[in-house]
Amino acid sequence: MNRIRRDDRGVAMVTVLLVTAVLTALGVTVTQVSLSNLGNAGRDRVAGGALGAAEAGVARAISYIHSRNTNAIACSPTCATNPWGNKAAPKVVGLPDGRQASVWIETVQPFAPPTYKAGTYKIHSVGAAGPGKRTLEVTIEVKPMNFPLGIYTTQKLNNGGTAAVFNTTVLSHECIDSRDKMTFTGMDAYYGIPAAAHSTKYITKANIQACDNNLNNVWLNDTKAIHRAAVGTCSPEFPYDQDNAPLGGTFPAGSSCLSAPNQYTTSSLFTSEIIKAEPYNYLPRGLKDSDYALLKARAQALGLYFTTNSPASTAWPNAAAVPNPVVYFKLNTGEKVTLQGELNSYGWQADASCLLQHPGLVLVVEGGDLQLNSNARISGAVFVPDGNMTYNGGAQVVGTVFAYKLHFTGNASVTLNECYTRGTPGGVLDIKPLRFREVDR
Amino acid sequence: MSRLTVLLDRVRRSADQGFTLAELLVASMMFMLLSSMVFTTVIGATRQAQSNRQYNDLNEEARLLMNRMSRELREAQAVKAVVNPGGGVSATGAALYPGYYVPDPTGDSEVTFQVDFNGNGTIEPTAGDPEELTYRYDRANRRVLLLAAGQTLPVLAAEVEAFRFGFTSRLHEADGSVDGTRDGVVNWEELDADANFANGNKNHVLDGEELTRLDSITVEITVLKNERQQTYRTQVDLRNRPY
Repeated sequence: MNRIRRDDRGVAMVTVLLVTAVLTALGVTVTQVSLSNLGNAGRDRVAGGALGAAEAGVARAISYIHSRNTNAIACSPTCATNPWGNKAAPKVVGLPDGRQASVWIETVQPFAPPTYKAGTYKIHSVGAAGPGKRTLEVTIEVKPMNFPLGIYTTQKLNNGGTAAVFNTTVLSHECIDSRDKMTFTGMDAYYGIPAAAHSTKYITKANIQACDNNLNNVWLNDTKAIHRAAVGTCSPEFPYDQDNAPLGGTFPAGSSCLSAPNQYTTSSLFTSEIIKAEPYNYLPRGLKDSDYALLKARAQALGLYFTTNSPASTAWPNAAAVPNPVVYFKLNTGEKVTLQGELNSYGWQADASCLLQHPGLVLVVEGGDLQLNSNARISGAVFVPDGNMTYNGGAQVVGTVFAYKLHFTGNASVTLNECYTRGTPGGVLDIKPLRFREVDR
Repeated sequence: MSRLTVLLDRVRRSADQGFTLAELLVASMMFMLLSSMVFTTVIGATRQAQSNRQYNDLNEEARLLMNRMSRELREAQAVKAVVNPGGGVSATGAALYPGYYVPDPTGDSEVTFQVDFNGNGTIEPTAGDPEELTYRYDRANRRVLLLAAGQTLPVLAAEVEAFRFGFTSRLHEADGSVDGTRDGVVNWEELDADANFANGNKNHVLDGEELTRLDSITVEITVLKNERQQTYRTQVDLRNRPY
């Protein structure tokens, strides 16, 4: 029996080896399946992460345009110093979790008013998460928010000086007085029409305290109204001005207004309905409340949101550091921001060739008033939706103004040139995605 | 004989003796028992491995379908037609508007949408890369079909237990138009029931103007193999809506 026992000893080992081999084979199979599953899930996760990174890159590109302007990428796709406009060496946007996106912006149709009032751009974004990459192309349309792009006032335009208006339109939802004290020069850089005055009531050369609501009185009795019974619907002195005087309408045959150089209209009629429609898009406070909220948020992000009318001298932005900021004042009624030279780093007057990158800001004074003193020089979009905006002396503005009440005193200079319109501050640009495309489909 | 010779003779005789019947029976039974145990384990494990592999493949197919459909829907610019859409459901899975719309539990569901893949501004349904796609749930055969350019492809061949859609809109004015409950989500039934803002035609079918108001589509797929079930769900925003 001892011999038999000795002969069985190897069987246990063989059995154990067999079972172990089988179990190992099965384990390997299960592991392979699990690894395959894990690998697929991992690839899914990586692809999703890369897509998210690419989306983040697109969002950052849009944010870049909002913080600058479209002129900053006019050199695309070969911008030497701006990676946002460099196809070969695009901007690398890093995300906190290690993912990143390489982004650049292609110009399809530059925003170049008055010919192209909206620009088209294509954002190329390659998102990377680990070994995964996803590519997005998002085409966007860029144009200014809806507001009258000129010099606009809701109330009567008080023209107490000799304002010089270059390449822009003056619009009033009330009357305009002392018309002959204003000089208009050139073509409107945004609307492409001769620079002129437009009132939804009437325009007069007289210096008046308040607008007469009865337009018939004006038409029949105001000897200085530019459109009156004696003159009819055409004012040869101001052939491009429009108002809502009675009988205002189509110029009669042979009218001198029809043959004025660069004639843009066949009628002197300008109504509340006209100003509310394209291309002026008038809203009672200039912008929608949501747009003001957006501007406020952008100003807060830059530390340029103020609830005082006299921020510390060090709090004002400088164009060298922040070329296109949003500066937002939220004040009480009657409080006034007075600008001497605090924002003069944003001032420039003309650049015929428009080769330089000019700064420009968005300045909002909500609730209170704004006064530009004689030595103030700024460029940008100015909004004073609830109060008075006063130009003193020779204050100069290149850009647009929307004010509840507007006062020109002294020899103010107001300009809207093509160089400004092309570089309209990104804060007031509306960016709408037109087409979303995943390239690596 | 010497004592050594006697001992050697005894040993030689013992080695030549063989096994008794009882020894053989016991040994055979032990071998069979051991073999059956090993084979049972092997076969069971093999089956399990095969099942795992199939389930893995099924999952993978479902995931690919979801990825593909998500991409295409994201780029879609219009939903052209919907057949047997799912009804709006609450967070608990209960039907939101049982009196307004009841899905056909036996009918196929499908959604047809258009994608301008080549970006030429025109939808070309029969192009090499077809730009009008229909995803259909073939309920009888438990599969999902892709119909494009006159061809039908079974993109998910079998084992599809459920394939559901949910359609929502950002047209908040239509919220509550079915039963007055404003829950912050506008389902397609509310678009259909709202004649003021959504131009809904109140015909209890997702069609016409309502289709142009859709902003987001939820896709849910459940695959079931034997007793193993997996559900995938994703919500996709239509990124190229022109309106």
